This record gives sequence, C-alpha cells and structure tokens, in this order.
Amino acid sequence: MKAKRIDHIGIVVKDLETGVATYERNFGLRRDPNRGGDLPALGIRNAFVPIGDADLEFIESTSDEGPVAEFVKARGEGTFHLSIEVDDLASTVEDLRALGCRVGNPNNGIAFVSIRSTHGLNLQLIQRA
Amino acid sequence: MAEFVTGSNRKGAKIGKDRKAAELIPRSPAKRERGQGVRAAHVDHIVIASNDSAATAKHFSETFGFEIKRTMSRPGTRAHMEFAKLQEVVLEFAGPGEVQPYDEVRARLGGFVLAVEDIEQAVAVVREAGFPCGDPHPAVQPGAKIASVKAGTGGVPFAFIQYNAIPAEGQA
Repeated sequence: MKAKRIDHIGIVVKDLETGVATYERNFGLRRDPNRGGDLPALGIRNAFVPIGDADLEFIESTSDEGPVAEFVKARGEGTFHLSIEVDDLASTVEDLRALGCRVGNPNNGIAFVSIRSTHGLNLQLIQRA
Repeated sequence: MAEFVTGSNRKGAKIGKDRKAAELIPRSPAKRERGQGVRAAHVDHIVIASNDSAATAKHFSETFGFEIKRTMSRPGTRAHMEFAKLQEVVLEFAGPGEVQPYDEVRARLGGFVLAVEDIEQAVAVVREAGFPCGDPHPAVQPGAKIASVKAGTGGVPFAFIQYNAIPAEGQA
C-alpha cells in the first residue's frame, strides 16, 4: 500500500457545535465553512478544522446506533479515527485484502480497515478526487 | 513523545504550592496577536499508543507501507517509541519500554501535537482562555520545545511544539 498523506484525524464530540466552538474559542482555530454538515446515511454530522495540510474532523452521532454512537457510550469524547489518503482506493483495498487484511468495501471514496487488522486502531482510507 | 503519552513530570520543574496558580498566569510578556490564536502551522505528529509499540510499528510498516525512520527508548520513563513520517506528519508509535505479557496487541489513537510558530504565544493563548497548559520545555526533538495542553480540548490530549526554539550551543 502506498499511503499518500495523513488526511485527517477524526474526533468524536457529544455536540458538534460545542466541540468545534471549543477549539475555535480556546485555540483560535477556524472551521472550514464550505465543508461538513449532516450525513443522515451515516448517522453523523461533521465539521472540518484545517491545520496545515491535514484536518481535524469533528463528528457527532445523530443516531443511537453505529460506531460513533458506540464510541460515545463507551468512551465519551476523544480521538476516533485516523484517515490516510491513497491514490487508488480500489487497488489499495485489493492489495490489503491480498495481505490478509479485513477491509470494508469502498463507498464514496472511503473504506475502513477492520480493527482486527490494525491492532484495534480505527483506520480510514480515503481517495480524493 | 514519551512525556506526553506517559504524563511524566517535566525535567527540572519546581514543585511549589503556587505552581498551579502560576501555570494559569502567562510568565512571559504576551506576544500574542489578537485573533491569531495559537498560530498552528500544521499537525506535527500523531501518537498511536500500543501495549507493544514495536509490534504495532512493525505491523503498520509491513501492512500499510509506513517506513520507520527512527526508534527511541527513554530511560527513566520506560517508554519505547518508533517514528514514521508521511509528508509533513510524523506517526509516533508509543508504548512501554518493557512489554508486559499480553493476549493481543492493542493500539489506539492517542493525541496529537501541533507545530506552532511561537510556543510562548500558543501557551499564553490557552492560558488566557482559562485553561492550564504546561510550561514549554525541551522536547526529544533537538532544538524543540513542547508544551502540553491540560484541559479545554474536549477530551483530546494534545500539545504544541516549536522547532528551533532552543538556540544551538554557541549561538546567542
């Protein structure tokens, strides 16, 4: 697999506006007004705070179920996933599966590697346009 | 970044009854510019904590192609770190120097460190917001200073780092 760059760090918050405002107020960071929003199909809403070449992605669960909701129940707020950009997601997924990794099917340019293949770390692969 | 992951005490820190209050008061003249915030340039490194950092580093290197550039064990903190770099961001695999017996290797995403232009300003901004922040102190990276933000981060441990913050010997 050829990792291109760190795309973002996912941070789960209980309330998106409060979470982002905390970073804006306390540290002077600024969210990207052109990205983020409600993603009902995923049961989340999110916002992005760019820092250099990477982002902090703040995520709030809008559902009682799903990995983000489960994370909040188990651990509250905190760092949730690491996202790595790759050039060719489909090939990367194939290559990882050939190595024996469990990887979800790509969906809208994103695939998650099973925690069983990452020592427990939530790892997302992303292909940008 | 063992001192960040393990929470070890700062070297040379004076323990005094007024330290807690003193940490909330900027010690240097505020050089902060209004509206500039902490002036974070980029994410410097991300900590991946593991009960066996060498094993996790090896797994990530072999599976995901991260080249391990450096390893470090810190006497006194009993920590072992391995570092890989992806563009401008370092991945730090951190864990105990003496690995305890385990059933499986368990890793999780820890905190991260933001590279800032002026660490004194960044610390002052956080303290002005009313949150405790450790004093900048020498980092393991030569010439760099690091300071940990102790609260106000929504449960995310993070720190600031400024490179070239400590003049090399012989320089003013």
